[in-house]
Order: sequence, then C-alpha cells, then structure tokens
Amino acid sequence: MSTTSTIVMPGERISAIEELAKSKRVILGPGLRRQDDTVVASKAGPLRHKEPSTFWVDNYQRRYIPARGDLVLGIVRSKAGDNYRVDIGAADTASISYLAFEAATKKNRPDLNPGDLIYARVLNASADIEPELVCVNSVGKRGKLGVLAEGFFFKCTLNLGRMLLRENCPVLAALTRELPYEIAVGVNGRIWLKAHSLRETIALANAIVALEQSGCAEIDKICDNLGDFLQA
Amino acid sequence: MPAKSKPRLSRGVLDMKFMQRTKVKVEKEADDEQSRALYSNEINQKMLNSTSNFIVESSYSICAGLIDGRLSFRGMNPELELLMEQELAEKQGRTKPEQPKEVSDQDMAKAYYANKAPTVAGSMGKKFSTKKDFKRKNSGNESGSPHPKKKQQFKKPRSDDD
Amino acid sequence: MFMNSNLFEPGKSKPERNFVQLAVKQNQRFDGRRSNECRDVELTFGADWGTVAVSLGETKVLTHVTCDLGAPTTSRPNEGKLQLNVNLGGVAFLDEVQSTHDQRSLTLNSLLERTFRSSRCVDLESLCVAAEQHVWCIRVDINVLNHDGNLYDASTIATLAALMHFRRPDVTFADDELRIYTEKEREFIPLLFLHYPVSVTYCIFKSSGQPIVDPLLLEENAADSVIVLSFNSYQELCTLNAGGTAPTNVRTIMQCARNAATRAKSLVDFIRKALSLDEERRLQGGRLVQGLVALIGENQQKLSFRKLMGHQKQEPQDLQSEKMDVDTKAIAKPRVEEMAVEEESSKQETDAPLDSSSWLPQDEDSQKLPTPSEASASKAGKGKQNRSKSKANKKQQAKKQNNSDSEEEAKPVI
Repeated sequence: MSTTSTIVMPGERISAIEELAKSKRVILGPGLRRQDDTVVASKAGPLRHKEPSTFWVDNYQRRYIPARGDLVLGIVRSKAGDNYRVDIGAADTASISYLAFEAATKKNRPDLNPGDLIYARVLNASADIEPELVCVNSVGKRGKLGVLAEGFFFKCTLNLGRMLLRENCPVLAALTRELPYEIAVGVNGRIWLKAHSLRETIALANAIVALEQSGCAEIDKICDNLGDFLQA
Repeated sequence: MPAKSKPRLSRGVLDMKFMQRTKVKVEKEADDEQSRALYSNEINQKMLNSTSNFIVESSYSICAGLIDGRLSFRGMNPELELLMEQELAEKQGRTKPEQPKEVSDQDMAKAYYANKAPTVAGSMGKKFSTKKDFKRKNSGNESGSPHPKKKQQFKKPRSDDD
Repeated sequence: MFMNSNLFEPGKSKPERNFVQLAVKQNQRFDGRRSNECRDVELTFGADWGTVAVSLGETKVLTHVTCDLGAPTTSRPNEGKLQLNVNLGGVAFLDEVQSTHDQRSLTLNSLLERTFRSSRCVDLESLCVAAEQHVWCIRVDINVLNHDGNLYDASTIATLAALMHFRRPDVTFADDELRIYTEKEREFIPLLFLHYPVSVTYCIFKSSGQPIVDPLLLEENAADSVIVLSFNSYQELCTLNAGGTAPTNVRTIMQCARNAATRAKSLVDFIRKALSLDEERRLQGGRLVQGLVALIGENQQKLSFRKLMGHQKQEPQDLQSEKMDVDTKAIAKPRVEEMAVEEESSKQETDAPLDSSSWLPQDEDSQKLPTPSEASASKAGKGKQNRSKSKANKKQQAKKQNNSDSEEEAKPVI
C-alpha cells in the first residue's frame, strides 16, 4: 500500500481519480463519493491509494459506520425473538440470528447473555436497515469468530484499530516479543485483550492506547517501556 | 406504443392450469413496467445506460486489505494459532510458484488408458445398442465367457520417474 | 436518544466491569497508580479574573466567573447571590438527556450546590451594595471539556480556584445612584471567603474493601458506589455524598474522610500557591493567556500540583483529622482514643503523605476486626511515639466514638 500524503477536505474534487477512471475501473472506498463522472471527498483526511486502483480517505473517527465484510467486536444487549441485539458502536444496534453460530439449530441455541462480548462479521450493512452480523463463515464453521471470554476490552479510535490490522504493521509482532497474548481487534474501534495475568493485560492495553498518540514509529520505545514495566 | 400493440392474454386464459408459468411471467413484466413508471422521473437515461468505471466499496477492511483482527501469540490460544498457521500456509501457497508435478501428464494419460477408461466411442456405441444386444452381452458374461473381464483397478504410477 | 448510548463510554459493559473488579481486587489500577494516589492537578489561569482551566489527568474543566448587579431575594435582602451552572455539553458520549437529567449530572449539580452554596463558603453579605436594592450576583459557569472520571473533584477544584481568582469591580451607592469603578479607577476587589471547600472522590468495589481515590471514568463507571466528600481547609466536612450499592461500613467511610480531609487541605494550599504565582506573573506584566484555545493548549504554562506541592510531601501529616464531625455522639474514653490515634499517626508517618491505606488492616478481602496482637502492637507504638497531642486528641474524641472498632481494639490492652 502506497501512502500518498495528500490531505483532502469534504467537498474537494479529486481529478486524479477521475482521470484514472477514464481508462480503467476504479474502486472508491469510504470517504469518497461519485457524482456522475466527478469524484468528491466526503470526509477529511489523508487520501490513501492501494495498487492497482483503490482509493479511500483515512479520516479520524470514533463512531463506527457498519460496512459489509468488516470484523467487529460487539456487546450483546438483549434477546429479541430469534435474534440477539448487539451493540457494535454504530448508530443502530446490530442483530445476529440464533442460527448464525457454529452448530446452532432451532433446538440447540447458543448460550449468549446480555453483556457478552462477541467477535463477528458484518453480513449486511445499509443506511436504512439495521446491520446484521454472523459468527460463522460461508461453510458454517466458527473460524476465528465467536464469543470472547474473560480478558479486558476497551475502546479506541477507528484509526488505531485499522492501523493495527494493516498487513505490514509491526505493532502486534513487536508486542509479542515482550509477552504472549491473545487479541481481537474490531474495525469498529474496540479491542479485546487477554494475557496471562491481569497486570500484563493492563500493560498491553496501555501500550496500545499509547500508540494512538505516537504512531507506529515509536513502537520499539513503547515495547521497551512495556518490558521495563513488566519486570518492575 | 409498442407496449400497447402487444397482444395480451385474457385473465380467463391465464387462470387455466397449464398457463400458470406464463401467468407468473406476465405478472412480473407488469410489475417491472409499473416500477419503471414510478421511478421514471428519478432515474434518467444516463443512469440506465452508462457503464460506470466506478465501484463503490464502503468497507475499510476490504479497501485497505486489513488482516483478520483475531490473533494469538506464543501459545495463548493454540486452537487459534493453528488456524492462523493454516491461513498463512494457504496464503504462501497462493503466492508461491506452482509446485512441480509428481506425476507427468503423459504418465497420467498412459495410466488412464491402461486402466481401460471408457472411450467416447464405447459410450456412444452403447446408445445405439438394442435391448437384445444388452441381454446377449449380459448372458454371455453370466455363462462365463472365455475372456472374463478383468476387474478394473488403478495402477500405481511408476516410481522411477524422478 | 440513542438506545445504546451508554455503551459509548468505558466501564459500562459486563466484560469491563468484571475486569475492573478483578483489577481492584489485585490492587491494580489502569494508569499504574496506587489505590490512594491521585492524579496530578493542573491549573491554568486565564487573562480575565475568574477564568480557570483545571485538568485532572484527561478530565478537563473550564470555569468562568462573572458578576452582575441585581436585586436580592426577599428572604435574604442583605445577601448577594451565588449561581452555579454546570454545562456537560462538551462531553460527546453523553446525549442531551444524559447530560441534563442523568443521575450523575444531578449528583454533580447537587454536589456543587451543597459544597459552595449550602456551606456558605463565600461571604455573601459582603456582596451587598444596598440592602433590599442592589447586590452582586456571582455566576459561575462550569464547562466540562473532557470527562475521564472524577468530574466531581475537577469541578469543585475549578470552581474554588475560579472564585478565589475572581475579582469584582468596586462600587459605591450614594444618593440613589450606583457607581461602578473601572479597574483603572479603583482596584478590583476579591471575594471574601469564610472557608475553602473542595471535594475528594472515592470509588468502592464489592470485590475489595479498599476504596480507590480519584477514579478514572472506567473505574468510576464500573464502581459499585461512589463517595464524594467535601472538606474545607480547616478539615471540616461540608458535603458527604455516598451512593451506590456496595456495602460500606463506617470504617471505610471514616478512612475515606480522614484521607480526604488531608487531601482537601493540600489542594487548597496548592490553589493558594498557584494564585500567588499567577499574581506575581500579572505584576511582572507577563503575557496573559488570551482565548480558550490558548488556555487549554499544551504550550501554556500550567501550574501543576505535583511540582508546586512536591517539597511538602515530607511534611508530617499528624494534623490529618483535626475535626471531622461525622458523628456527634461523644462518650469519654480518653485513654483508648488517645492510643488509637497514636497508632494511626505512627503508621501514617511511615508512609507517603497521601498513602493512608495502612489505616485499614492489611487483609483486603475481609475487613476483619483488629486482633489482640495488633492492639498490643499499637501499645508498643504508643510507647515509642509518646508525643503531646492533647489538643488534637480532644477534637478527635468526638469523632472517634462512632468508630466502634477502636473500642474493641483497645479492650485487650486495658
């Protein structure tokens, strides 16, 4: 992923993409909008580009906007008929069916209670209907999705969540040099962590939150601090 | 208007039992017509005809190619780490050059024919054979023909080819 | 109103709550503090009199005091008015309903009301210009800029600092004519105070007997009960606000009160010190901070509690609980009380000043009553540190009575 550092503002026309679109297909990500043949930014932030022709605006945001295919962390709020209502930090609660879990049938319902934390994929997302989640993949297996027990869970900006999930992001690998841990990062700006001890978990959480201000570059420094803290 | 001039089937005809499928088709057409009329002032010709070069993708995870956010390191969750390994292997398998074949195509073909694969000619011939032929063939087998068919089996590919 | 709005703040979901309970049980806090350690307080004074920004970690409150001449109420014709307005609009995760009618905002309002108005800390009679006609109406606007827990303390510190910083113009009333002087004509007059109250907040969890001071938002939301105590610099209790569901015994509350009184005193000292520094700067004609952005910006010179009060940390804290009239029942048992006090003070001195956790028995899970062995230890302590503290003790006697533990503690010794 090349990171072009042009900053765009809402309403700004981006003619570079328009030019490109004349010759080939262009994928417009979040923060970009098409009006006939013009491309206009709808959010403020750096314009990102991924080869061959994907563009999006990486804006700073805390409120999650559901999008199909995203992996999110949600909190079960209530049972409603055949669905659970799940809070995923969006404007509306999402719903997840009883049957959207591995090996779930009408008789054998998953044991979920209000307050439980689940890691799920957004199946449907649209501005007009509530988002729908699933906890199984297309062949009905659980995979990495499902209920997250124990551990600590906290919220951060959406940007931090995305930064951790970039393919070449060194953060998670660097942190594990200090200690073993398990993590679930939702693109809805929620992170769940579990380490062997409570102290380690708190230390990790603080290290990740600190990244928000410092960025990836200072990860080594943060890891050193973390190591010192854990030894203390 | 071409739509007007098109002959329409009467309700009586459509209600007949054998016309059920046509009835559904006709209803669908009518529905489409109606919805087109409803939105005709919203959808212009350009929207209908332009083949856009833009694809809108609203998910950051797909655009930026984000990895799955559920990870485990250094044996925290062995089950999860197994999954991660599998995924990694799959990914590498996709990006690596194709692995060399253990059995060459030629050998494969030879082995196939050696095992008396049904030829096209044989299968087509079956189509034209009569019941009598079939019976004769069967009875011949039962009576114990001088060359009883060998039971088909796969041969192992020869091991001397590397 | 969003159905799920309360989940936008930390500490409201079950996993978070469980984790915080566990953390408190293991005596761990999220920013590495000890259970009795407060965050640093930073004060920034604005260019106008009575403009103060307070930050308590990430919690930020901006307070502005204004004054106006108005008519007094008929019930108190010779007193000025003090009006407190809290604005929680800056906190994004609270919606309209939550920021005005939520339990917490009501608690905050009533806390400020009781701490500053009901306790009559400002001498309102001095604000009277002409009885039944003209009085000064002091208005305090408290704007919450960011909420990361302990809004109570941040607000009271900000309000007190702003009121202490504030100066009103001089005014004369003669021949039915009001004359207000500008700053050039006559110096502005600071408000008169009868005492200086400030609050200290504690969170109590069911999983642990140890209350934690100055909670983060995460801890505050996950806590079973929140206790807010307002003390003035004379260590008199002005407000006690104990809510929630955790079973709190007298011992815990007394422990909180004791520490809070000390903390309140040092906070007031800090505000005084910061004010004098600010005054110095003004006299030097230093560059004054203009506008809101400069006030909360990073480059502004902040007056930090740790820096200003750092050297005082070594001061003995035996004044700690001079007078806390929580309970008025008094039964004379001088010897016993004296001893208990000695024990506390001797223990306290070994610790850092704000660290008084040792007041409780070390066992955190069960608040067991002191055993005879402990009591005998206190006897030994008494022998070592036999100082004359009769004055302090007399005052403490009144309060100590409600602490039934101390009686039991002492019996085996007698």
